[in-house]
Amino acid sequence: MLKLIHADLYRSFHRPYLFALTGFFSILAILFNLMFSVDTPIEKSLQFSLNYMKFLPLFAVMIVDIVMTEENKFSTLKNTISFGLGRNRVYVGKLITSVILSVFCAVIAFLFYMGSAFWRMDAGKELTPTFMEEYLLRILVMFLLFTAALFVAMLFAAVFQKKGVYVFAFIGFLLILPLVFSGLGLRIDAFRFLYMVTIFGQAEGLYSINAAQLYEPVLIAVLHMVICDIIGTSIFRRQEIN
Amino acid sequence: MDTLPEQILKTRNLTKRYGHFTAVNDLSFSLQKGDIYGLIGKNGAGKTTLLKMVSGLTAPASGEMELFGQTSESGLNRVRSRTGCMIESPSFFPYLSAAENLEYYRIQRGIQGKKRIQEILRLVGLSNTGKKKFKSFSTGMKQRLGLAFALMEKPDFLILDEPTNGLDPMGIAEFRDIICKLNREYNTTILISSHILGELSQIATVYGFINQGNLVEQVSASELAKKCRRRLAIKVNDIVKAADILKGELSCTYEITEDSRIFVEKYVDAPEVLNETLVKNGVQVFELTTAGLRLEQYFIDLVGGNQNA
Repeated sequence: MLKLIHADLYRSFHRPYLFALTGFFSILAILFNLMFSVDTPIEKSLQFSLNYMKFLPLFAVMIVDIVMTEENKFSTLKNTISFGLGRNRVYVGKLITSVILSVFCAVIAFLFYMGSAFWRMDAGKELTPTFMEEYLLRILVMFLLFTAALFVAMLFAAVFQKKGVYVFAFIGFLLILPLVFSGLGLRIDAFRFLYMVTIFGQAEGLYSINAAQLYEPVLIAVLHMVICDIIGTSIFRRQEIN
Repeated sequence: MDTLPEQILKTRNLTKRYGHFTAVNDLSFSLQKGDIYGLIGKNGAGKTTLLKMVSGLTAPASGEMELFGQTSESGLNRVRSRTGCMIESPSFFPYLSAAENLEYYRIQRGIQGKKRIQEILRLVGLSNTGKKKFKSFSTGMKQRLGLAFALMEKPDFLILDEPTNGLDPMGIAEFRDIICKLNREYNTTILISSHILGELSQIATVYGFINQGNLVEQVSASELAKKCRRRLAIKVNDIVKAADILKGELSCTYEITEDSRIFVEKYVDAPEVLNETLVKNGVQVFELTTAGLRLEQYFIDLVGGNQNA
């Protein structure tokens, strides 16, 4: 599996798309800090950023596009499968590659974000080690939710081989469905519960819950990963490769 | 070093269905070590589906397959590393060059040494493509890269689906040379489907004719040559006298058909000698033609008319 991951990383780093994506997030991170006036304490920007990070899992679709969807588009998967590499290994290998690329992208964008925040703004009284610890913990949980979104994207990439359908299905599942649940949840409690078991629902709540409640998004993320991996591998194993 | 089993591939009642459509039906065939197996069939006959099942890209609905003596899923996957495949059109990443595409698969397969890539690119005539991206390749170049990919790990068994599509005559000749060299020097077994039957007839040692998912006939090259043999068809005024001359003066064996034609295999490349001898001995020759089937005609006769081979 290491060879598979190594090969996919080789290919991804020969793709300008990955660097464009990283650059896009880095610019977005800098622009976010430019929204605040110079006398705003850094912790305000950091707190505020958590609220916007709920949309980050939507970008998982772009990472999986680099790793998996374009294999469908260019029909290159047949070269890998015909060599006799186990399909489970291929599927899991692509998931791990997606996570590695996400870490690469996220770390660079986060460095730009923190760098521009500290360069432009001053630390306030609330910027204590405890505050930073809680903030970084939430960032880690957000990354876990992002990873869960990667698993969902991989599942959809395996099911829907046409890129347009894949993106539409992913956005529908990750954003539209939770919004529908949220709307219906105003009248029916069961939908409120359904909203809270979605990745978007948990990502949105990350801003307001306390540290002791962080196990909830972790649990939901792990649940999504396990379910999507089981369904995804079983579909991929039976699939005809074109 | 392991000794290869004599039988490389054997299928038993292999069937593949897509809904109500049966693409491959109860197909049983086998390949021996060193065979160059030419798979012949019109469009939609089931050739590609069969090759996809052999290479693990799709699972059969029923039937069994034995590859290098392995029949289990894990066993088949293990021995597939000894095969090189080019199924349908060659597919690679358009934003990578030929060398980068092969490097990707070299890393993935754990093949030691980067120089193998240059060796193989030189072999297929792509060593001077430099940084040119796959998306800018001509169809012939893409085919060559597909072949390079299939040969990358010196396979024991090559599976090639329409490999000469898009190649110019020189490319086809080079391709034929590579295939024959691999077969001759390394005893590589080759399963090859092609529409260019004349091309197949120059390299195949065994033929499989497939029609509507069924293997209609499997025949060796020598048997097929016998069936398609070229002969001279002669129509004369005196069959008995002509037969005597053929047997005596020309030392020929002959065959006389019901429509009073004499068929002779000897002198097929020198019909003027035969004509001159008959005329000199007072036999009037009304007709002297070369008869015999080409592979295309044999195939068309076998699967019926209106074919698109």
